[in-house]
Amino acid sequence: MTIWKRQPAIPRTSRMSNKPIYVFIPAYNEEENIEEVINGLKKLKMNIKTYVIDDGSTDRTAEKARKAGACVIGHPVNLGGGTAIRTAFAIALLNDAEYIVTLDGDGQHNTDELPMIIKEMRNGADLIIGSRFLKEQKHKMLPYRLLGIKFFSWLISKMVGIKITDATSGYRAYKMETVRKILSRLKENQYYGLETVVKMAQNRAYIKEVPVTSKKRIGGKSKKGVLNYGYNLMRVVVKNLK
Amino acid sequence: MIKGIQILGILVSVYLILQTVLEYKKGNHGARRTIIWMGLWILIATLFAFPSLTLLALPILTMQDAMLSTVVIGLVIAYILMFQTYQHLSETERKLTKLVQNIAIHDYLEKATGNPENKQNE
Repeated sequence: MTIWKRQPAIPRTSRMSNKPIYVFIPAYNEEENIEEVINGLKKLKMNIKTYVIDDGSTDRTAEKARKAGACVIGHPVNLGGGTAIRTAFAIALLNDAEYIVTLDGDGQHNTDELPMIIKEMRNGADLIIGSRFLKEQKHKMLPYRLLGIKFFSWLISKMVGIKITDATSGYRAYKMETVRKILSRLKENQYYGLETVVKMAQNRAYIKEVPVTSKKRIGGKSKKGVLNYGYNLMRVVVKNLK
Repeated sequence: MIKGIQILGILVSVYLILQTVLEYKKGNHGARRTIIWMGLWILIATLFAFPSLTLLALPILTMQDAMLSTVVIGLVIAYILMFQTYQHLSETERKLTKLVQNIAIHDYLEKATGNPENKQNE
């Protein structure tokens, strides 16, 4: 059951220039985790520019990110991860970035896996999704969350005709040339994960998943309520039905 | 003789009329919006005071019950208002998002010009 017919996308291998890789970390009240995420990126010794999109945090997230050496872009009020990602896209376009990587500010993504994601990007993908379900994880997700993500990933797979196992993952790499084409159609303020996959697929983008490790939060707690999260993911799916 | 729910309906309508006037005096509402809202509250107050007026609408609505027609009309008006509120909220959210992003990007550009961004990640 594919909701719309989709031509198979092919990888468009392009010679990667020596431009830096822009890494964007959307963060909201992540003062306990942000430094470790930035330090993890610094350890990689790669040509990386780290940006934290501080989405109206009321704690010391921005201050700590700045101290750790990242460039902080501040939203005056909290609007959600989707808006933060769109700001990231805008900044990346201003800098004429070729590729960007996004990862969450909660420290659950393993920064050591970034070179592998970039390597996959070099092979011509438009969107790389770091999937938490392609390899065995030490840190187990809450059962209802796991079920919800698997269900929505299955639903999105059926919609776009590509097998996606982790449609909500925030650990991603985007080719900016493709993002430029879909940017004006991105509207979701909070639940952007599904929307970007759908819009990318509609644009015949080459989407690939790579296995990534999911770590336990260092501190703080998730801001996603169960029912609210499920309802909003369904809302995004319905909204993006063609 | 006005009684029961009619009194409550009229009191609520009077309260809403006063609120609308206050909002107009504070300058939160323009004259046009005030007239529309006042008109709506006066209509509701009149219908509560003289429910038999709804009988005039029965042949048009092809309904036989005055109470039922009042409820149906009330629901339709409520849905229209809800839809308008939803539209207004969506528009405000869109504008706010755009504004916040513009502020963030503007601040970034301002900083980047004074302090070349290359230095920020060194």
